Amino acid sequence: MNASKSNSIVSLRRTALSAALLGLVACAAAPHGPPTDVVRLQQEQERLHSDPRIAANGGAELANADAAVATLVQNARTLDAREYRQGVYLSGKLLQIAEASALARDAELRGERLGLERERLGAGGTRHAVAMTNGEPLRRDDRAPLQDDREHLFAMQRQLANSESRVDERGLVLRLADYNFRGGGHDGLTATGESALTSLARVLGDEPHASARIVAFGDRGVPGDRALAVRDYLDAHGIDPSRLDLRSARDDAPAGDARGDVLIIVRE
Amino acid sequence: MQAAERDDAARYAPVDLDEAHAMLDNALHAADARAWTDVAIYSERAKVSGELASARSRQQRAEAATAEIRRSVDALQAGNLDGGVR
Repeated sequence: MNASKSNSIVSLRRTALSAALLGLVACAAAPHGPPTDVVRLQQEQERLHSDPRIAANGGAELANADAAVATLVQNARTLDAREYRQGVYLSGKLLQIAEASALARDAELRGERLGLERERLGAGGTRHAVAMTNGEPLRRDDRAPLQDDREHLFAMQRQLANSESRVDERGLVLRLADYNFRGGGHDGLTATGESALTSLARVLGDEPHASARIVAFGDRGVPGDRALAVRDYLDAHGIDPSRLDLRSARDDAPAGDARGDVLIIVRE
Repeated sequence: MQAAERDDAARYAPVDLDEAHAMLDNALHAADARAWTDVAIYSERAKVSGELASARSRQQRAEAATAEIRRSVDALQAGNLDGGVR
């Protein structure tokens, strides 16, 4: 009886010892801390926050990415495999969106500052526009827009990033110069020109009652080609050509380096 | 996806736009197979990939535009310097 009891106790001790060892092995095998994918995302997140261009311009996109990574870190151990993979995919993309959006804003701000610098150096659109307005008598339909219209035009102007534009008595005036065109204009637009016109096409798409007058300054040939390139680009981006009025102003062309400019005048 | 295409993503962010298209195709196939969980997963992926294509496109366009303005400023500064020497 005693021998049997002693054997049982030994057996129980062995079982307990095995269980303890198994527990220890399980503890050693289980990874501590977040999974490697999550660590990689956290490192990427840290990189974005340590880049001053991104930290300063991250905005809502960076906040969304931060929230996605934080949620993943908190729940990584409880998600099933499919949810986890989806969380890693979406968090990674949100971080990339935050980086691209912030760098775009940074470039746009630098572009605005450089645009002011260019005006200061004497190549700005303002000087040309003023000179042209003074030299060209206002027609009946060129009178100053009403105050409400002006506010609306200013709202449109705010959507035209990286464009030389102003609101004056003619309407919202967008200026395209040499650097907006490839070659003489018959080769189309540069990336800058396309960027400006893509924004304008979006604005005109949202404003079905607005029309645009495309005015080419200078002699026949180059300015006309440029104006046609502008009209074709807007047409290709969904703006009905009936809303685009093509005009040549060679008789009223301002003197100097504004020759060859194309102005796009938007009115309601 | 349409917003990305309007933003010229085909030109400036073709890889991301392709990925968005691939995810949309996956979502459509999943819908044909009535695999609704997969539809949700791939739709979300298509949406976020399209947004990334738009963001990358905007970044590329902004950087190209800024580089152009930088060149014109440099040219003007060089011209002013030349004028000063003469």
